[in-house]
Amino acid sequence: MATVLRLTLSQLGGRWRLALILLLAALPIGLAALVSATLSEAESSNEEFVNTLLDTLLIAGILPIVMMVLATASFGNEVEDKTLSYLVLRPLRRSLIALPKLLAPIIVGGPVLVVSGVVATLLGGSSLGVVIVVLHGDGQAALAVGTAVLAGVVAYAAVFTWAGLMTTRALAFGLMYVFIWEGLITTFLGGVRYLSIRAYTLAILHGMDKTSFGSLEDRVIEFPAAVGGAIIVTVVFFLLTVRRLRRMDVP
Amino acid sequence: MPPLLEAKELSKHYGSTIALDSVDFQVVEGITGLLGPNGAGKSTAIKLFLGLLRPTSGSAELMGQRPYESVESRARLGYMPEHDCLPPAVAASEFLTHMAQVSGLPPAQARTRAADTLRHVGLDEERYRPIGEYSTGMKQRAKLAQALVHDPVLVLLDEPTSGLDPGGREEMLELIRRTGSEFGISILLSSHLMGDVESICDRIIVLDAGLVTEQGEVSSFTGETETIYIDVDERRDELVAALIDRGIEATTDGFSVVVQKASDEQYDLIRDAVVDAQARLRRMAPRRHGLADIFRSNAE
Amino acid sequence: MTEAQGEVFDLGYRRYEGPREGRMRARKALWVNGVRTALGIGRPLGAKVIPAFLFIAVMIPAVIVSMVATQPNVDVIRHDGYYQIVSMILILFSAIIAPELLCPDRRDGVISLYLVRPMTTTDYVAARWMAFLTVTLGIVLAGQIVLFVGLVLAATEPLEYMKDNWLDVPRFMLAGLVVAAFTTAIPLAVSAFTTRRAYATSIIMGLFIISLPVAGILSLCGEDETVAVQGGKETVVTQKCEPATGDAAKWYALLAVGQVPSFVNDLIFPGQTDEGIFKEFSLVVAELPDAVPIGWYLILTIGPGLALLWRYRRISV
Repeated sequence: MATVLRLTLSQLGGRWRLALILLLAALPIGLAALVSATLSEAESSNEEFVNTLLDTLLIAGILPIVMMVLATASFGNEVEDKTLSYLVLRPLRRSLIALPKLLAPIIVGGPVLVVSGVVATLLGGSSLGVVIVVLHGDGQAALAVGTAVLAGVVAYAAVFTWAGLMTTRALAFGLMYVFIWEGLITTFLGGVRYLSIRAYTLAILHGMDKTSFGSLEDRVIEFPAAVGGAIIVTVVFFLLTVRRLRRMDVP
Repeated sequence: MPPLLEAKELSKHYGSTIALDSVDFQVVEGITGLLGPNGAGKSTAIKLFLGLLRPTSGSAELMGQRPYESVESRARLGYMPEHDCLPPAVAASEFLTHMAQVSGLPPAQARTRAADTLRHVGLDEERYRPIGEYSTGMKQRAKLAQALVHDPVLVLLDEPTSGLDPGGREEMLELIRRTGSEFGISILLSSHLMGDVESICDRIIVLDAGLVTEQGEVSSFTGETETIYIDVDERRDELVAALIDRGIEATTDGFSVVVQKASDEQYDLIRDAVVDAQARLRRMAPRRHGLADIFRSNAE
Repeated sequence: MTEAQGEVFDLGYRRYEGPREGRMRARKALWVNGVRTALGIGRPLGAKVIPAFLFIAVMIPAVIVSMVATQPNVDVIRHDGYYQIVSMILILFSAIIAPELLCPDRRDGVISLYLVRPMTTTDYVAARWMAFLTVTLGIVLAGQIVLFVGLVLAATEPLEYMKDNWLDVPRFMLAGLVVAAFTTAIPLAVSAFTTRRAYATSIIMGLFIISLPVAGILSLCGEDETVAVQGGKETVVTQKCEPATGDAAKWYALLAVGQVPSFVNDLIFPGQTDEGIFKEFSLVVAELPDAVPIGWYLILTIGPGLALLWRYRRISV
């Protein structure tokens, strides 16, 4: 299992890919710094910050794109090169093949995204810089962002790792899911939020720090439903991945 | 009429690597083999004639024109690359129809030509299947078909037998031989395998490390160099003596008596010698010298 | 003795004596092939699902609007706001489908067969470009036409409506071309730099999706009402909002790459549009002289086109 993990990590951690991910993750931090530097405290609008920077940019944009690129490539390289059979034929339990394949994109993408969200929150929450924010007790907000982003990372990783195993066009289907289902249809049909990883992430964010993220009130589902949903999605798609590995034809 | 292909002091350098070093040769009608080990500059030469590369100095001319300058000169040219070049999701008939149109044929004629060409290479039955499902041999034939679909005057085949098993290799060579002799399409074929070139080519050009080391008719290398192997059950030494009596140089090689460079009239003398020696003839077979023998003896 | 009936078919090789139409035929064939590839025609079922689904998604707003337009007092989308509504789906379509036209040719090696045929690299690139333009133009115009027919049929006086609004037709045709050329240029240029479709798609989506909130943070501000703390009391102060970049905000709004064709769209349709999810960008950009959004649009369309050509001139096969 350690070998599979090591191999997958080296596949995912290509120089260009890492550079792009770091660039994307640096974006919210840079913008938060810019906003807090130019606006005086009275002018800074917390709501705007939460809506645009955390929701639209990080949670609806960078988080799913980064995780999609990483997780669909987790099995993607083997599927593309037709070397999946070598992996499947190893004397390992299928779940021990699926687990490192799920962990690898989380290990690569998780820390980067969580750090990005936490630092951006700390910077954006105040015009006076990181230290004072922590003293003022905004550590709660940062903790909420970190937890919510991590939940999103894990759930997206499970779904897209499975998709990468099922089809070579996983990225296309993933994009349609993220931008049409989670992005568009959710705005018309509220119930869809119960089946949307983005909505789970937002609800966890709101649930953990209602004072900082109160502006999300109208758009989130119940906190327990979001936590449960994220766990169920992760477990179900992990089991689907294992099932697929068990049932696939080895050429 | 200019030769089909002509290299004049043709050089191609990749940085400090010299792929072709001021070579001169011509390719005329018929089947020409471009022989040489891997890295000798065969693919580079072919790509220069196709206009895919530009020479560092000198010129590579296609029917008197420079292919990278004259788009129209490529209309009657076919190319079968060594690497994969087929889209896996498309059926062979659809792909060939498309390639024929890209070569300038109108759609209806393109469709007819695609069907005809696929029949010629033996892919009639499989033409509606996606190319991705083909075996290596079938893919190789589809690659040849796309080079022939627009009825070229000349086709350039880069290592057409690479990756094929012995059976598939024989079939491919036979197909190329028919393309050259029956269809009347001239061929330049590159290979690192002596056997390929020897069995089907009229002429050969030997490239080694960017230089032309040999060129000429295949028969001029292999002709009049027939060796006869004679196997007898007993009285072998008597047979050798009888042959030498008749002025035929004979040696022994293991169990066989070997006559080098036999000519037609010597066959009768050999027959007489066998009778005289009262040897029981088991087998008598000529063997033409292969190119390999010639190059081996040249190297010695 | 009867004469044998029938013919002997010579199945031997026949030379082709028919017409050879050269480069024009090659360009046309590549164009048709590009359109078919984009729509998944002549390919396995899987390749048809994605274009079909995205096409439906683009049409939905037009169809819904046509249906609700019959209801009185419902504020419907009109031709000026349509492109902005469907812009995200169009971008998604381009990001997924455009790489299909260039990446597989290089990955599978088909490009080396094209380049030895009687055509040039420029012919190839231009034919693929036109093919994708045809597809995107077809999609955006189909939506507008459905919308127009819907609005005419829903009007109480259809003929009167057509008489008053016929100018919308040339306007949405022109605006459609503007949008289609834009969604063709950048995705195809990105596709020229990688053989993996997935990488091209991620880069295109990353560019369009990420640029929107970035431009938003830099150039827009939230509610006009802000809670200000004054002497321990919270009071709601309505103030002229000030974006992070101050006076330069209208320039930063141009960073919303995906909305650039909408800026030009707004110039084609007279009067300020107030439809669409991204209308704030349009309002900010409207403060700039007209030449700025038009120039920016041309840079973002012609620039990638040239980059594409440059890249293919240097391609080695």
